[in-house]
Amino acid sequence: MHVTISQLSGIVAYEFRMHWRRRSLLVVTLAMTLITVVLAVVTAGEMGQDSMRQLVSQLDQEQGAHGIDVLTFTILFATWAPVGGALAFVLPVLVADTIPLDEQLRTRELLDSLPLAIGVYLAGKVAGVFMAAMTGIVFAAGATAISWWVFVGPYDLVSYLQMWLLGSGALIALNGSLAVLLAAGQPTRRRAALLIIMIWGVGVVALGSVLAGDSNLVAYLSPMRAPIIMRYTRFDAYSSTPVPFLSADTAQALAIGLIEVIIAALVVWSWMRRRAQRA
Amino acid sequence: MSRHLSRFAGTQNLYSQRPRLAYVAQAARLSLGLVGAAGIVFLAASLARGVPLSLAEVRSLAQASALALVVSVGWPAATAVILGWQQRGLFAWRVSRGALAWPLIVGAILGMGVFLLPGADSVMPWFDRQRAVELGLPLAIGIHCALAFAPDDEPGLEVMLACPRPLAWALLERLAMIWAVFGVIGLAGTLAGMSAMPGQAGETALLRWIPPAALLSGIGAYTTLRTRVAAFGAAITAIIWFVFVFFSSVLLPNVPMIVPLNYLTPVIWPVHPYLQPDHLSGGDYGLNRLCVLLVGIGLVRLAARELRDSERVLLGASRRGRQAGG
Repeated sequence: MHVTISQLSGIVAYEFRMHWRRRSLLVVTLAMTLITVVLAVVTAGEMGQDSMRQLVSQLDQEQGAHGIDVLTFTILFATWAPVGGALAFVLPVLVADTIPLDEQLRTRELLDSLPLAIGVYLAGKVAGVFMAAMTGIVFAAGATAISWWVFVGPYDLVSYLQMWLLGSGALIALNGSLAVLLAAGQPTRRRAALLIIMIWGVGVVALGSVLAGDSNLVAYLSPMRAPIIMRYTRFDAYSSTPVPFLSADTAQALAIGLIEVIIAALVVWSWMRRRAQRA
Repeated sequence: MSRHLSRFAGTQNLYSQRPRLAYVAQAARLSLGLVGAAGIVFLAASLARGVPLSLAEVRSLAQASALALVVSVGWPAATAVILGWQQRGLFAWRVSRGALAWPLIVGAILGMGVFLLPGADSVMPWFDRQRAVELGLPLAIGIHCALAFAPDDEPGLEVMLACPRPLAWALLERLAMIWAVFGVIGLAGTLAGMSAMPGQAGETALLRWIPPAALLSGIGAYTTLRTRVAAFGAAITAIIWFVFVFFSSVLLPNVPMIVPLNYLTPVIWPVHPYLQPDHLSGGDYGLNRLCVLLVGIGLVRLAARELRDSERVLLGASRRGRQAGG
């Protein structure tokens, strides 16, 4: 048990470092932070022009919504659009090479010769991606929370942090893990990226049909995670703060996504096991 | 053998012309710099007066930029094509053909075919059948160009750097191969679209997809070579495509926009890859197509320049950076 934990923590730590050294995660994190800070400045400019205050008072009079609720929802909506998009569409392509890189750098044979269980290897790779991406998310959440507070004013911080940590965490856990596992059999980084682009491309077309109201099942099965992406885009959310991340829709999407990840993990695990036995 | 050697002699002639080429490059850089400075002055003036730039002001800037781009990008590109034709025996087309990603090509053909089917626009309300080629094909070309050449993924990089043939040739060969394949697909798709929806002008149908494809190719190739990660280049290309496709009608002049974006949106139209013929006048649309095409070629040129410093290509750090780092 001690050896397993030691191996797992070693792989996680190595993956964590390598993902940050490859720069792409750094660029995505900085881009998410920068875009959100710019949006905070833009929103502050709008409030300076009284248009936001007018909207708040109008909603207060017409629908009885409190100013802080409207402001919180505006902040959640503005932040979640770029962050959710980046995590759902971009992150999977960037982390797809996690396992194929071992094949490309010819370290696969070395790993096969070590007393390392395939399950531990896969868990370490997936957990490494999760830890690396979540570190960026924690940094971005902190930096942007402060910028919204400074530029725009007090808002519901619990909803905001819940969106970053639970919403982003869910997308990383589902889409990041799925991309790592689905691309596991590819021999090169290029082919891994290509495969994930193709799968996610089909997902975008599927999302188009979902938006057209064709099928709800596709929305849950597609790696676009439409119910999670759309969580903070519905205007009925402002009537109650804190805005909870978990709703019936998101819970269903989470459950189906987790089942997909588990099935993918089992398939990859059995395929790698068979390959090791053949070798 | 002697034929190949004589062609290498042709390459030497190219190098003997370098001083003259250097003067042209300097002049081109200067003209681009002047246009860039003029753009900053225009933007600063509009911020100072509190009124966004007008269509006429941006048009004059775009015309000057197009002229500077023709000198700095169009002329060297034409020279490169002529020289490439003269050295054509030295290209390794067979190897470049191996770099083609067939799943992406098949996916682009299938996607285009599905979008061209009657009734496709009723399934996806945001979609217009006239745009079947321009929506999918430039994205596929851009992603393909991003995946074409990444230094970290090249198994024989040291050998390629040790060869007398410039490394940039390998990149340009692959991009040319991608463009040849997708060009044929695009032409076939354009003809299919014109026969399915009669009444479209042929040149407009071609102008719809060729400039965005050039721009996304340039973005993909340059981002990959700059960051050394092919997946990152592909992701950036996809993001830019997404932004311009889905916010196409918002990123236009005279569209109400929040502060400070209302100062930026009027200057985007000259390089807006998905500007539609009915968005602006015919002249402005033509100017936009020219600028988008030239910026795309310029980015490909910048990508090829990234391969000039062999230490940077091999180790990921420039000579200057390595010296500074001790």
